[in-house]
Amino acid sequence: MAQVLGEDVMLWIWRFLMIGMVLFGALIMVNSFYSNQDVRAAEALSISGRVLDCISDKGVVNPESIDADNLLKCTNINAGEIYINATLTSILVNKSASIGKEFELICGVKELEIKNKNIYCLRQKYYVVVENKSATLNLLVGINKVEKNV
Amino acid sequence: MINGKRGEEQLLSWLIQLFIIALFLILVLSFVKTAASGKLVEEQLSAKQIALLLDNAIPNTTLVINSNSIISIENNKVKVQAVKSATPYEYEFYSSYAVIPEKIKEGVYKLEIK
Repeated sequence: MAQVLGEDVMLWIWRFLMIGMVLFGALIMVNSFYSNQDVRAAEALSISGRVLDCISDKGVVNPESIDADNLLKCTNINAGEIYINATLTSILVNKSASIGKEFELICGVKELEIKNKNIYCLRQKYYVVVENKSATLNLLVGINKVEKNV
Repeated sequence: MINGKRGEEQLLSWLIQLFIIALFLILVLSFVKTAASGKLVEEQLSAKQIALLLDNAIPNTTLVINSNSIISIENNKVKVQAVKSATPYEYEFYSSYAVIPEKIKEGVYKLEIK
């Protein structure tokens, strides 16, 4: 009788252990899925738009505005978390300016817009006018903020 | 007689096990429901949404926010603290405009962007 009860107890423990493990796994998955909402895509788009508004006037860009100080004035970013690079390419002038932590290398190897576990990169190309000639303005926005978003 | 008693014990044992398993399942399902409804990340969502609104806002904009949490702005950070929570959730925004928060009444906040 005692042996039979012992077997029952062992079965109880075994069963609860198995169910407990499955439920614990489900809890961890649900928690990790819902714990952080990644808003870096929206943030990057907003920064990119603000930089464009700041350095261009209705599509006309003054090359003098492609400057680190000006970019900083436009966005007021936290340099440790966000990186911005603006590159103007035209027949007349080529100019580039960056602010923030150097994420270019990480973003450079990726395609247009890929969510990386570490850094979110947004690369956008705008067709603009510089001194009545067509030009392209490439904006790269890299956002770290991993702790709060991933 | 002995077999009958053993059967009763087994039935009782099974019933208790079923009850405990059902209890576990109910607890887990209620947690999943709470998580899926967004209640666990309410503070986080509010802070991030307000930060994005402030990032995109132009001067002379007024935002009126209905929230049961306490909302404050400090050093370019939006802080949202639920009533039951011990610490607020913070999220940084980059807008260079001045943001003046004001509590209009319980659960209603006004943010003025100057």
